[in-house]
Amino acid sequence: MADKDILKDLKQSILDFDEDAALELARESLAAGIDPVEAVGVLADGLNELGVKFERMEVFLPEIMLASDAFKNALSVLEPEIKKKNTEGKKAIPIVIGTVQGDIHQVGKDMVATFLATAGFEVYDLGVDVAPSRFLEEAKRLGAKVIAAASLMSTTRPVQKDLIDFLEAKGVRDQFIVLVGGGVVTQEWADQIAADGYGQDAIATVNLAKRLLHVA
Amino acid sequence: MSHGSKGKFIEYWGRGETGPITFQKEFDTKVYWPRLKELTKKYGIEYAEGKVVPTDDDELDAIWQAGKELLLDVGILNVSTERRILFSEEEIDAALENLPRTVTLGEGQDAITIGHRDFEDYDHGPTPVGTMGRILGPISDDLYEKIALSYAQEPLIDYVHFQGVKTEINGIPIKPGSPFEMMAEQQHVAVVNDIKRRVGRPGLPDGGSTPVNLQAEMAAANPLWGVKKGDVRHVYIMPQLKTDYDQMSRAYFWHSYGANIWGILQAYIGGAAGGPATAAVNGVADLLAYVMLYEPTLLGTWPTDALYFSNSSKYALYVANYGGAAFSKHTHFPALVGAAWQMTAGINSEEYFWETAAGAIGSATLGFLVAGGTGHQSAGLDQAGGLGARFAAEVGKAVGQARLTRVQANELVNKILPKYQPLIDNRTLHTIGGDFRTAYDLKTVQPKPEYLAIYNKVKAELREMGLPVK
Repeated sequence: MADKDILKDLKQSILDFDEDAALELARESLAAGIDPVEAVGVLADGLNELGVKFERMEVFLPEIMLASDAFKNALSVLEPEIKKKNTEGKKAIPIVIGTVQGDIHQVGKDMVATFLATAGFEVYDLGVDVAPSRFLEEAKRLGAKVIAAASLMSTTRPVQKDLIDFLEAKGVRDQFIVLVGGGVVTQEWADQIAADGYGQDAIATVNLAKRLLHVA
Repeated sequence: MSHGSKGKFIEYWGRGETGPITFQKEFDTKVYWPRLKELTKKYGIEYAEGKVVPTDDDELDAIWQAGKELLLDVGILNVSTERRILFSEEEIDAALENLPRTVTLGEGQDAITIGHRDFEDYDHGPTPVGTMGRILGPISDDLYEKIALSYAQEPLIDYVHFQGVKTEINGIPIKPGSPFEMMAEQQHVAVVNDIKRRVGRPGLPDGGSTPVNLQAEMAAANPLWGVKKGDVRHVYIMPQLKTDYDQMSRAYFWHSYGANIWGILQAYIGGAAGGPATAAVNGVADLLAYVMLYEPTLLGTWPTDALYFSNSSKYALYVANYGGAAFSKHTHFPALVGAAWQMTAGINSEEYFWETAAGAIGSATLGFLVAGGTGHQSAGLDQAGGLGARFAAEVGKAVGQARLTRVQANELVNKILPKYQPLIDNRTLHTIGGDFRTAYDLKTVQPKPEYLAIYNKVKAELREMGLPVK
């Protein structure tokens, strides 16, 4: 298969949410001598296309999750080659995300996590009911620059403030960008607790993270 | 009285220990979603612009059949054990056949008995069947009593979710699992009971499920001074088609206490439930799952747009009305609580009243309870007031007086949607409209003249559209 066809099919594997095809085509692209950075580029194009379709309600969250898995599959093959070749492939920026302690809502948080991953961030999803101390421990362990904390209930919203208080108390507040979001969260609340940003929805959170991290 | 699944809970819940092991992500992406898509396609279920109130019974039959098959095929995931709970068709049919036909909420002279109501049936009891007022979202400590009173004092409201969350007690933040949460719930229930007594409606049913933790809810369960047996508490089927031991414990506790339980069709449109058509199918499966696992006393419809939270968008109304109507047509379950439980705009705005009207018109025509009260996506501070729920009741009464057909209701809602849907499309509707302080006189706890002017303006426009709202 010609290089152009392989790259086209690789992108299509993302658009088809096909994890197996993405893995196979990533291998084929390397065998054909295609620059892995270029291959990652077409994968990202596919994800961006899906993001637009998601906003138009033409594809849906489970499909974005599958596409994200397909992307990760392909990346597992391409990334080591990028490192070996020492090309300009940049390491993805790690982000930890979770729903705060006492809150088990996960739909919104999952959407944000998925969209951050598809935007090229290395997302570590800590799940739901995450204590401030665990956010910090995991962020340190993973070298994350961003902590994204969701709260879907008025009663759990104060835990977002706890997280910031906790970071202040440990003297590490300036080491992390703290993003807050969730059904009961507003820009006013984010300002009140001195969070670094408020994401109204998944797409807005991705744009916010990119802006704060100066990612194109 | 016979029951749907009561008596079977131990057996059904126990299947969460033996059913097929399925990890959550696998359930979402490989089990639930592909089957939902297949069934929606198989039965030819499609959303189209303009579909808000269902007019075609064949379409409802298709949504019902697809939703039932979805539950039969994928079951419901117990996330505590990561195993699926499966049911046979015979079990579902038997539960539906034996479900109670009426439910009574509240106590004494304030109780409301809700039966099943057919579409466009204006001859078997009042229209709307009932009115639910809802307080949700953060409420300032100094306003809680006044906001609760603004609902309890409205004669047309039959049932109130006295939610709305206190954020502090003695200056200490109320966190889930803390003793402060238990204290707050005891205080909250005491305040609500006091308010209900003050307006002469001590038995007005309260469906507020405020605490995150069951232990805090249990702390206020006392028939003498706390939650009454006529009150109602929430048990949750998590999106999509998931539950856990915490929810089973809630159902177990409230059933054994003798109080009522409410549950909801809860599809996240654009999110895990897919588009409007798949979300409507999911909605039927949600309601059936509730019947099988928890046998709630009251069910309602609460779909929402996933990306921009709205309970009253064109998509949310479609899913609530079509999913709810499909369930209602095929069961004798007491009337559901219909669409638009909380509005997207702030309470002090015309748009808030238009959203309320759009929900109430469909609900009243389909034989459901109407709902209203909360605004600003239930996220803004002090965005709740009784006038919105009164308005929902008045719109519902007008639907009954006009004896609207479903076709007429659909046409009317389609005339209303352009008044607020564009602001959902550009995600700004939540920025419009003031809060309770701007809307009510805080001394008299009555709507301010300028707030009443907005309410009256929307009513006048509705009359011009042909709905005889008083």
